[in-house]
Amino acid sequence: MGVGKAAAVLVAMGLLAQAQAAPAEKVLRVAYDDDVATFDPDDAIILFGLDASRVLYEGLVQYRPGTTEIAPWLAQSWSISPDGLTYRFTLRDGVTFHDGRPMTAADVLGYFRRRSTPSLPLSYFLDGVADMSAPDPHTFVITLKAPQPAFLDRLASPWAPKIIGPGALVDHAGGDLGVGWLGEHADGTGPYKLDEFARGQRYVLVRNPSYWGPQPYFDKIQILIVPSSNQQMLMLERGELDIIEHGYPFDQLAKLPPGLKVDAHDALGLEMAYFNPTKALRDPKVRKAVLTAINPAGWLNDVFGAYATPARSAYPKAMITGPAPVAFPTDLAAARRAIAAAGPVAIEIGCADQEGPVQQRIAEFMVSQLKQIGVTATVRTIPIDQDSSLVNDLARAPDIFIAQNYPDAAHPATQTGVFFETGAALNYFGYSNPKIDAMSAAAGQITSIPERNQAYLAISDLLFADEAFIPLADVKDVIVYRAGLVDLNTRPALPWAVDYATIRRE
Amino acid sequence: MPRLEAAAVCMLFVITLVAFAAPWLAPADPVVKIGEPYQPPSLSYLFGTDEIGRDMLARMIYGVRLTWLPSLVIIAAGVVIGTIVGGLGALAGGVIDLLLTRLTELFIVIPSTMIALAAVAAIGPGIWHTVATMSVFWWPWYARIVRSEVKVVASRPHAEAARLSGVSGPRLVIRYLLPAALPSVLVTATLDVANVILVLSLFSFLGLGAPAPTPELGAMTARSLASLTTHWWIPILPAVAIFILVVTANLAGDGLRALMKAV
Amino acid sequence: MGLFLLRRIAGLAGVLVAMTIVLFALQQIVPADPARALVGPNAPNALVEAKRTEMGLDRPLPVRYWRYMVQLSRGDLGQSILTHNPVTTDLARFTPATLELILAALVLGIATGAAVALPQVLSRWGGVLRLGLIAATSAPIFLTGLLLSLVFWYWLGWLPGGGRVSPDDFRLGPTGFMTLDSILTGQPRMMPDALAHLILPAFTLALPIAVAIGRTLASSLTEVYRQGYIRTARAKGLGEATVLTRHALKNAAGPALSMVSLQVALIFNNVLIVERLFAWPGLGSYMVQAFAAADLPAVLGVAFVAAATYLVVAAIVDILRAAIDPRLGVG
Repeated sequence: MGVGKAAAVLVAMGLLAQAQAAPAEKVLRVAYDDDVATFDPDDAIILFGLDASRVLYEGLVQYRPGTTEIAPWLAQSWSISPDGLTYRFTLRDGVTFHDGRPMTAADVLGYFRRRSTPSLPLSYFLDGVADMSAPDPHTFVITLKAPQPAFLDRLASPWAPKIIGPGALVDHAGGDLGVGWLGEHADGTGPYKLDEFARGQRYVLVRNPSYWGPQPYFDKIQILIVPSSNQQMLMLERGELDIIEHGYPFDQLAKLPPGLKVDAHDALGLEMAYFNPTKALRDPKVRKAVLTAINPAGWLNDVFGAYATPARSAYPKAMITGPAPVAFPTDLAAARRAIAAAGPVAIEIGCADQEGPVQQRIAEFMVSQLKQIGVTATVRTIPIDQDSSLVNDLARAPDIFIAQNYPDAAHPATQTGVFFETGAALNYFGYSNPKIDAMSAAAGQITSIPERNQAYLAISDLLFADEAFIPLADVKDVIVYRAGLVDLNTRPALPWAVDYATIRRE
Repeated sequence: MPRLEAAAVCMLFVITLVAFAAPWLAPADPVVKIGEPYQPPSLSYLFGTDEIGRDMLARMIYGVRLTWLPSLVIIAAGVVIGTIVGGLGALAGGVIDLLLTRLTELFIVIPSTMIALAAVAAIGPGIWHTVATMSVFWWPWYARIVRSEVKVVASRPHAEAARLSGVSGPRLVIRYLLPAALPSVLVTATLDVANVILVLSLFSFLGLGAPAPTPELGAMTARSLASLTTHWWIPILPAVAIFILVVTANLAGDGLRALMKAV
Repeated sequence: MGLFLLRRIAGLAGVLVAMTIVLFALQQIVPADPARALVGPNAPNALVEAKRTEMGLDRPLPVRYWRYMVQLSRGDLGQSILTHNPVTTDLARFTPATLELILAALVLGIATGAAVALPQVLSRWGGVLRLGLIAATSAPIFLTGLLLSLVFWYWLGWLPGGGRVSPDDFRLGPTGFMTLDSILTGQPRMMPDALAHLILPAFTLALPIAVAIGRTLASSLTEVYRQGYIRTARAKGLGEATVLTRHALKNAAGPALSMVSLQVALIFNNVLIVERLFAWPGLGSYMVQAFAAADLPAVLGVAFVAAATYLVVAAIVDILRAAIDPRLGVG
C-alpha cells in the first residue's frame, strides 16, 4: 500500500514537472552573405550586421522606426544651447553593460574618448567636437567647435558612437583600444549579448535578462554565414531560415513560394554613377552620348521590377524628395553620331563589390546599351577596399563607377559630406568644386527644413550639370520573411536590417 | 582508329572552324540585349536568353572561341618553348643540359596551377594574364618529351650517318631529330588540350579570366549560379559546352595515341 | 639510402626557396598598396606612411626579401586585409574543414576507383565503362557538382545542398572535424547530419580521383594479368579471387598509388570550386573570398601553404616508395 502510494505520488510529480517544463526556446534564424569585419562600432563600416549591432550596442539617440525622426535611446532627453554649440544629454537610469556593470556618464565619456581616437576609422563622426564632459553620473555634455545642425543625425546613424563598456575598453584594452577583443566579443548595453562568434560559420546572440527596456520576444538570434544566395532562398522556403534581409533576387519577388512575405521600404541607398573626368569621358559630347545610353529607363525595370524608381535628385528620396525625376538626354541617334565622330570609344565600367550581382547586372545592361551607340565597354568589379584608392590613380581607374551607397545618416549634410565635397570619403574620382563646398557648408547651417532642402537641391542641380555624379535610381530595401513575423520595425536609415528588439512571431 | 575516336578528330577541326568563324556564325551580338531576360530555350532562341536578355547561343559560340583559341595558344607556346629547351639540352649536353634539366624539373615539381592561380589573382584578372601565366607553366612536360626523344634519335645509326656525311647544325636538328619527337609531342598535345581547357575554365569560373561581359564559358556558369534552380539553362549549358570540348579532345587524343602505337 | 634521403631533402629545400622567390616577386608586382589596404581607406596619409615604414616597404629589394624570409621562417604569413587577422590564424581556423573534405574525398575516390577498375578489366562491360570514365573525366568539376546538387538536393531532396551541418546541431568542437567533434562534444545527433552534408561535396571532389585511379588501376591490372606469374598461379589451381588479391593487385598497386599521390597534388584547385559550390567554409572558400577582395597576403599565404604541403607530401611518398620497393632505385 505504502509503495503504491509513493509510486503514484512520484508519477504525479513527474507529470506536474512535465506540465511546467520550460517552453521550447524561441530562436530567430537569419543569414548573412559574408562575415562581418567586426561588431566593434568604432572599427569598421559594416552593412551586413547592422541588425545585430543595434541590439548589442546602443547609442545616445536613434531614428524612430519607419521615419527619419530622432528619438531617445540611452539619452532619455537632451537640450541644445541657443548658440548650437553645447549638447546636454540626460542619461537613462538602470542601464547595465552585458557584464552587469551599471552605466554612468563617466563610462559614456570614456567610450566617446575612445571613439574619437584618430587611429580608429570612424573617429571622424566626432570631428567637430571641442570638448566632452560628464558633470554628474546622469549627464553627458558635448561642446562643438561650430554649430552642426546635423550632429544629432550623426549620433542616430547606424554607425554612430554606441556605448562600449569598460569591461572591453579597460579590462581587455590589450594595447589596441580593445579592437582585437571586440573583433569576436561584445560588451554593450543592448537587449542581446554576443554568445558565440564562429567566424565564417555563425554568430549567436542571446537575450540579456538585465536589459533596461522591454524584453525582446526571441530568446536567441542565430546568424548563419551562407554565401550562396540559392542556398539562402531554399533554406527560407524550408523554414530553416526566418528572414533574408538583403540580396533576395528582385526578379523572384513576384513569384514567392507560399508562406513568405515581402517588406519593401524606402531607404537611403541611392544607385549612382560616377564619371571619371580624365579619360574617355573628358569630351563633353562623348559624355552626353554616354548619358543617353545609360539612362535608367533602359534597364531599371529589368533589374529591379517594381522595387526601384528613377532618381529625383542627388539625394535618396527618403532624405529629400526632389521635384521630378532626373532628366536624361534621350536622342539615341544623336548619341550614335557623336560617338562615330569622336572615333572609337572604349570605356570600362567599374562596379562596387558590396552588391555584387545587382551591380554587375546593371553594368552589363549599360554595356548592351552602350554597344548600340557604338561604345565598347567592359565591366570590372572593384573590391571594397580598393574603391577609395581609385582617386590615387585616375589613369588606371574605370571610366564609370556605379554603386549603391548609403550616407551616414538621414541629414543631407551626411550625403554631401560623404560624396560630393572635396576630399569626401566616397568621392571616388576626386571631384572638387569650391562652389559646391561653400554651398554645402552654408546649407549645413540652416535649421529650417524646407529652406535647407531647397539649398541642398540647388547643389544637386549644379552636380548634375557638372556631369560628375549621375543619380540613377532610388532602390527600396527589400526584406523577405516567413509569414507570422510581425513588428519588423525597419528604418530608412538602417540598411538591410529589421529590429530584433521588437520583432516577434504571432 | 576506332570510329568514335576518328569522329572526335573531325570534331576538333569543326570546333576550330567554329572558333575562328564565331563573329559570322553567331546569330546576335553576345553583349547586347536582344529579347526579354530569362527566356527558356525555344524555337526563337535556341538556347534561351540570359539575365540580361542576351542570346545564349551567340554567347556560347563566342564562349567556345574564347576557350578553344587561348587553349591552342597555350599548347603551342608550351610546345615551342618545351621543344627549344628540351632540344637544346639534348643537343648541347654537359652543363647546359644539366641546368636546363634542373629548371624543367623545378617547374614540374612546383604545383603550377596553384601558383598560376595566385599569380593571376595577384596581378589582376584578364584573359591575356591567364594565357601568359599558364604558358609559363605548361612547357616542362614537352621539354622532357622532346629531350628524351631527341637523345634517343641522336644516337641512332641514321642520325650518325647524316652527321658523318656532313649534315650538321640546324639542318640536322630540323630534318632528322625534331621530326622524331613529333609523334609523341602531337599525342601529348592533343590529350593536353583537354587539361588546358579544364584549367582555363577553372580560372574563368573563379573570376580570373576576361572581364564581364565577355562570354567566357566558366565565367558564365559562375555568374549565374543563383539561377540554377529557376533558370537552369544559364549556368548549365556553358558547362555542358566545356564538357563537349573536353570529351572531344580526350577521345581524339586517345585515338591518336592508338594510331601511334599501331604505326 | 641515407644519401638518397639527404639529396631528396636538399632538393625539397631548394624548391621551397624557389617558390618563396616566386611568391615574393608576385607581391612586388601587384599594383595595390599593402599599407593602405591594411590601414583602411579613411585613414590619413601620415598613418599610411607610418605603416609603410613599419612594414619595411621603403627598404631596398634584397632587404625586403630577407625580411620576408625571416617572417616566413617564424611562421608569419602577414595579415589578411579582409579579416584583419594574421593569415596563420585564418589558416588554422579554416584548415580542418578542408582536411575533412579532402580525406572523405580520398576515401570515396580510392574505393570508387578500385570498384570501377575491376569490372573494367574483368567483365564484358569494359568498353562502355571506359567511355563512361572518359566522360566523367571530361566534365568540369563545377558541372558535376551542379548536376549532383540539382539531382540530389533540389529535385530529390535527399541530401543537403551546402554548409557543413544544420544550424541547430552545430557545436564548436576541438578538432574542427564535424564528424569527430560530434562525439567529442557529446552531440551524437550531429554525426549523421555532418556526414549527410559531407557526401555531396566529397563525392564531387572524389569523382576525378576515382576516374584517374580507375583508369590507372585498370591499365596496370591488364598489364599484370598478361604476366607469366599469373598463368603460373592459375596453373597451381588458385581461385580467381586469390589470384586477384594475392598476386595481381599487389603488383598493380604501384602505379595506382603514384596516381593517388598525384591526385592529392592536383586536388586543391578542385577544392576551391567545390567549397564555393557547396558553401563549405574551408581554405578554398577563404581563398576565393580573398581573390574577390584582392587580399594578397591571404591569397599568397594559402598558395604557399598548399604548395609547400604538396611538396612535402610528395617527398615523403617518394622516400616511402624508395624504401618499400628497392626496384624503383634510389637517386
